[in-house]
Amino acid sequence: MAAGDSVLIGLVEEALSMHVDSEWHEAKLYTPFFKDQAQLYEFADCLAVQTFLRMAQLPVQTKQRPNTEFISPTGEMPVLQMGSILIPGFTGIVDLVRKKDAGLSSHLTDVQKADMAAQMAVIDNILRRVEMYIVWLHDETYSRVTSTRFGSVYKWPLSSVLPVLKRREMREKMNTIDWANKTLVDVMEAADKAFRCLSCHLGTQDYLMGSRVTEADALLFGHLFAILTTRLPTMELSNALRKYPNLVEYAERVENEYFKK
Amino acid sequence: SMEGGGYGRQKHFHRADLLHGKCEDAPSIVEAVQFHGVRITKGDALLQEVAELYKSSNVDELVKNCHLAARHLQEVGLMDNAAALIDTAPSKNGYIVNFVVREPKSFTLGAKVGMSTQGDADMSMHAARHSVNGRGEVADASYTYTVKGDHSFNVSLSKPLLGWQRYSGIASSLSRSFAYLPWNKSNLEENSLVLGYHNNFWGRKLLQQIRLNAIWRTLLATKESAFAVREHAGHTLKVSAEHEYSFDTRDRPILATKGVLAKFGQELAGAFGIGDAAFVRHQLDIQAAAPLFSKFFLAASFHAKRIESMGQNELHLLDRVYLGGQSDLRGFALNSIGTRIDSSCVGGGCGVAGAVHLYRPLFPADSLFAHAFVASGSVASVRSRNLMRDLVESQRVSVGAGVTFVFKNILRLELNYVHALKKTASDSFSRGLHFGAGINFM
Repeated sequence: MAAGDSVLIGLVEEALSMHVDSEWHEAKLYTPFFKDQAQLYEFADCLAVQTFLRMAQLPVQTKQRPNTEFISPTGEMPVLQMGSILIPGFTGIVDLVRKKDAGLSSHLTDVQKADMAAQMAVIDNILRRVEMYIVWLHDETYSRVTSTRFGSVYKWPLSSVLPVLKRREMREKMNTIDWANKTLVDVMEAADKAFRCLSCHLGTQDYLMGSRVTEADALLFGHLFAILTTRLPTMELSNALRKYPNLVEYAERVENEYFKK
Repeated sequence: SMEGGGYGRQKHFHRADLLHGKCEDAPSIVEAVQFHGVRITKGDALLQEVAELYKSSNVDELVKNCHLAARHLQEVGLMDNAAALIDTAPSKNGYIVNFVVREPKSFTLGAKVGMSTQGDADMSMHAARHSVNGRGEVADASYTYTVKGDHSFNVSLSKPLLGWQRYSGIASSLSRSFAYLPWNKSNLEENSLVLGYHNNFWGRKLLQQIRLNAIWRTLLATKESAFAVREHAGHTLKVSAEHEYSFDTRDRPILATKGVLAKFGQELAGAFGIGDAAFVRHQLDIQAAAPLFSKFFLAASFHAKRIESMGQNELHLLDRVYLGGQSDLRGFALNSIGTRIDSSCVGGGCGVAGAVHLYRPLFPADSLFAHAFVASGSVASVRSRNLMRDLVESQRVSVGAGVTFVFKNILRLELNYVHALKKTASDSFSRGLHFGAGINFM
């Protein structure tokens, strides 16, 4: 009976994994142009998704498009397309993968899952907003980097008009969460708090939730790598991050592990 | 004809046809041209209009030229009403021409309820100012919205180029519109600037139009849009120049009973790398109508359009060829003929269509008609490698009969029962009664 059971379990597992594989067919990831167009936080999110799919060993074809913002049903980037399914944003894509039982956090307990959600919330609610603030509301960054990058996919006069309209839209968005009136100092303080929290939680572990990678690691890596490698007129954010050497070392390690092998 | 009057005596004027054709050898010299009823029209504009009168050498020519001048003043919009009165002058063979005119109302305001070309009820408000600078210019602003939520706002300025028997003018308009496109289930916002020039030759039978367009379009996909439509969503700028020549001898453009129309036009977009859209469009329209036996008359029309991308990218959705609708291939949903993906139409690169109608006037004879028609057309895909084969293979044919109502040369309404003789499986065609409204019908 025991031998028969294991054969049955084996068959079921095989059927399930085949189910996932056959459903994970010809996935395409739409992103903005990394070299000339993507803003700091957009690059961070796109990299986070690509890292996550690598960690979960799910193949995906990345397609860079100038109008990804409009291809996305909500404006969030990147956008995953598989057959008739279109999912925007890191959170949505992670949910889709979890539903197909290919997620990375099934080994965690409920308490750990809640903890992981809290860490991801720090990145989503603080770090990403810091990045958006610097990109759109910091005058020097906007005029020297953001507006050129946003207008790079358009011809004149749209290349001059559209960044202005987008900045107005982002200011409105930041206003609804009360970030529009913060100063750069306030925003850097919030960033520092976020880094400290993440650094503390990482401690001396290999990954955020222990010794195995989870979705939170993909998200954290995406944002850390983006901050460390993007050159902006103000290097305050990058400098604030470098005060936490375990985070910098973590980013280098994940890069070596998943992108250089 | 006229009588010279002394002081204090009443003048009596007679209709010119009393003299017409009888005064070729009566020499005339125009001494003065006077205008009565002018308040804001500028002197140099009037001079341009009547300068030719001074060249009239005999009375017959004078009478004819005065009539042409008065009619021209009305046709170019310089005057609402103009009548010429020829009076004798004291000198030998001398005549004085008096124009009694009524200038156009300087300001008009209106609101109307009507029908859009897609068959939705719409309401529009407009304000116009005539003869802004005293030379027949018209400035107008209008706002239209339909029951479906489409709206548009337009400000335009037009100016006739005055001169003897000259029918040409320049116009410019600035507009902003928002509309839902049912054929690909997406929304379109457009901001556009158009500059135009038109000219008539050969006794107003040949019309030339030249236009420069700068249009900023934003295509926004909706939840129901197919992915092939989403891929084209976003902002694009079209900067183009187009020209069109038409030869028109139809008796009534909105529903011709006899005459011919031949129209040829081209548009070049994206020249010198300006703007995102880069293409060349060629378009040919031919219409002919002739009376048959009894009161019946036959009308046939042909339409061909070819758009080729000039840049590195494929033609954008908004620049492609579409067919279908109650004003060309009746029975098919608006713009639904073309490459079809997921019940959306993404258009094509080349299209041809033709229709033959048999009309019979009902009562009242110039407004209501019964008609039967056969319409056929096809659109070849943007990526087609063999145009002729694709056009022939994807042909659609619809037949039907119904009634057409023409309202004062402004609007044409149709109610038809339509049946498809040939269509593809994925087409959006519904057999039965269809209602159409508009101005240009095939």
